[in-house]
Amino acid sequence: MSFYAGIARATNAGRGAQNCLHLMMIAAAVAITTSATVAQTATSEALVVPPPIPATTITIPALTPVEVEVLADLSSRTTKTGQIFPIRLAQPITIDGRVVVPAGASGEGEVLDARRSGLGGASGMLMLIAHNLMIDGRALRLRSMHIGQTGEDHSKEVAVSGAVPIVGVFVMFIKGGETQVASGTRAMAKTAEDFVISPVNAAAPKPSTTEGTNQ
Amino acid sequence: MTPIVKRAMLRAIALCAVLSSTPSLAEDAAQQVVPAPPAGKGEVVFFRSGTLIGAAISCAVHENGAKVSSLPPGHYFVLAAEPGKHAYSVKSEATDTLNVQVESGEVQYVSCHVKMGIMAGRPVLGPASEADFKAKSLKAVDASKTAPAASAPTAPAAPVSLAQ
Repeated sequence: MSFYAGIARATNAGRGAQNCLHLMMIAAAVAITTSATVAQTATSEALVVPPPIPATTITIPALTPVEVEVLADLSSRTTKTGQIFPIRLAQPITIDGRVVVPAGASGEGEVLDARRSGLGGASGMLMLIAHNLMIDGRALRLRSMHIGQTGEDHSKEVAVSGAVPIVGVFVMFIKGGETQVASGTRAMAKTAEDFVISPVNAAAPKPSTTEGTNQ
Repeated sequence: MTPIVKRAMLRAIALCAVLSSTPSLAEDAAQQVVPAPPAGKGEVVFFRSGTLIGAAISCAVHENGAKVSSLPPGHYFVLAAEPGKHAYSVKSEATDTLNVQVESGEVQYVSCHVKMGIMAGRPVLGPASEADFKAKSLKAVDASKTAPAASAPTAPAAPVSLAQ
């Protein structure tokens, strides 16, 4: 082989070596870049870890007073014992100044006892209790709301109070004959048990309002 | 001593004898003690005024067919009961039933009075207030006439947790 061919071969070999060297350098650069990227990503990911999630529930303790509103016209003449009637939360439930349950939550009550006025001066009587309020699809059990109505004119028995007494019977609407409870009548009750609620559904703190009248 | 004076003295002596044998209203009120309900239970206070009208009619209280206690005129008794719905009844020519929702830690008052019936008086149970109970001079029913066990509800309540 001629000198020039040898030189050409050598040149080609050199070019090949050069190419190899170039390829190696490129590969190294890519590797370095990749590892740097991975490290950076890992570091970024480590820096983006979200902070711990704080407690997100509020507990409405048992025996919390609630004001409810009867949403049906009831009469000792027509209402039957065991009849279910709708009620509504009349005032929001607040915990530490924060509204946890806005007014308007619906629920149900029951006619505990109904008695028509009868012979011999027997008076009509209506006794109502509250069962629950539906909060976030769950039932908040209620207690201690009895609306006891008698038709006899026992004015001394009238004991209407905004506070919830230890006696569970409210005697209201004293009049002769039949006893009636009109839709919109308000009464006080208490929560029967601790009730956990998510503050996601709780409104921002609002000044408490004490409007509302007991008829 | 003239007869008029004698009669007056006899009447005064008789009046003194009656007054000395009758306990004062303050003493009676002090006897009308309603203890706090046992833990996890409620109480129902049944009472009956001492009027002579219908005094012969029984106001014995029953639940689930069993006698809970007698209730003579001018007496009361305290019944501890499990939380839930209870049906208490009194019987004569007809039966009168009153539903009571017993709540733990609470005291409720029920009065028995006699209404006019067809052949005889009919006892009737009705909700009352603590003021009604305190306004009357009553004595506690003798323990021998009261059933010892507290009544179980006809419709038991769900477990209740009380925040202290």
